[in-house]
Amino acid sequence: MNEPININEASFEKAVLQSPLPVLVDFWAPWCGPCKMIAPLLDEIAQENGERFRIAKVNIDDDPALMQRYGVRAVPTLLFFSGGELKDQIVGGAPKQAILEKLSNLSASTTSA
Amino acid sequence: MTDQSKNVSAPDLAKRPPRSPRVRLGGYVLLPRMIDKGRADVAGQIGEYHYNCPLDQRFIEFVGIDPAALREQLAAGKGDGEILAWVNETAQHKRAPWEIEQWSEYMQRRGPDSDAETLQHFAEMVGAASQTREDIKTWADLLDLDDHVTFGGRP
Repeated sequence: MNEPININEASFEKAVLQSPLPVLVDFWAPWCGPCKMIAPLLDEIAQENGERFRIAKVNIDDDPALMQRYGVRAVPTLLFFSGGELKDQIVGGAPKQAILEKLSNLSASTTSA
Repeated sequence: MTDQSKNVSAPDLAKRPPRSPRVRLGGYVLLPRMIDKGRADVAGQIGEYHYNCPLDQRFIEFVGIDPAALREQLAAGKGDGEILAWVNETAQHKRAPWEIEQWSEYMQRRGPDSDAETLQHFAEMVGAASQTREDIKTWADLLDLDDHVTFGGRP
């Protein structure tokens, strides 16, 4: 079963920037209500689409450096990476379909490149 | 009166409640209430309240400070502004303004959202304070109601 992976500054390069798959990175915090609401959606997306996408999570309390590096100013913030580059983002909560559409767009751009 | 308590201008929480959990200091909800309880604890007049209760610990964890060290600062007689400066200087997590705002909003709106025991505890506390109020949804709602009723208010 595919699940979101917890990453930090040390593992970010390999898990995200060098990933052969498009990656959604969820910047979250334990004290964030919307983060708790979106977490089950990300679990579902990872389970249903693990062969196509990678879902990664950064706890900003544990890793503020990554938050600052990408200018995160609210949680949750979802960053979408493909080919080692930041391609898109969602700030705040979002429905599952909106997240899937952005991931699908990443796949399409990767395939056509 | 202890030597420690001579420095402290403390509320007597056997006679009146601490500040509401919604009141903010430096943007942080919960902190003024915790300060009141800490000062009252130092002065030996905390009544039925508890310093470093589970809600206080939410603040402690968010900023990353030692509650015993905070109590020492209160025992030294520092005012709210001095305590805030100490918190910001000592905090393990140096929070950006947006983090403080988002955390405070979340804590202010947070209701019983964990296990069945917690849900039952919340319901029992509401029932003990009022049999008719239907608008008590958050921990802040409950504490405000409980403070009001405890000191003679009608629910």
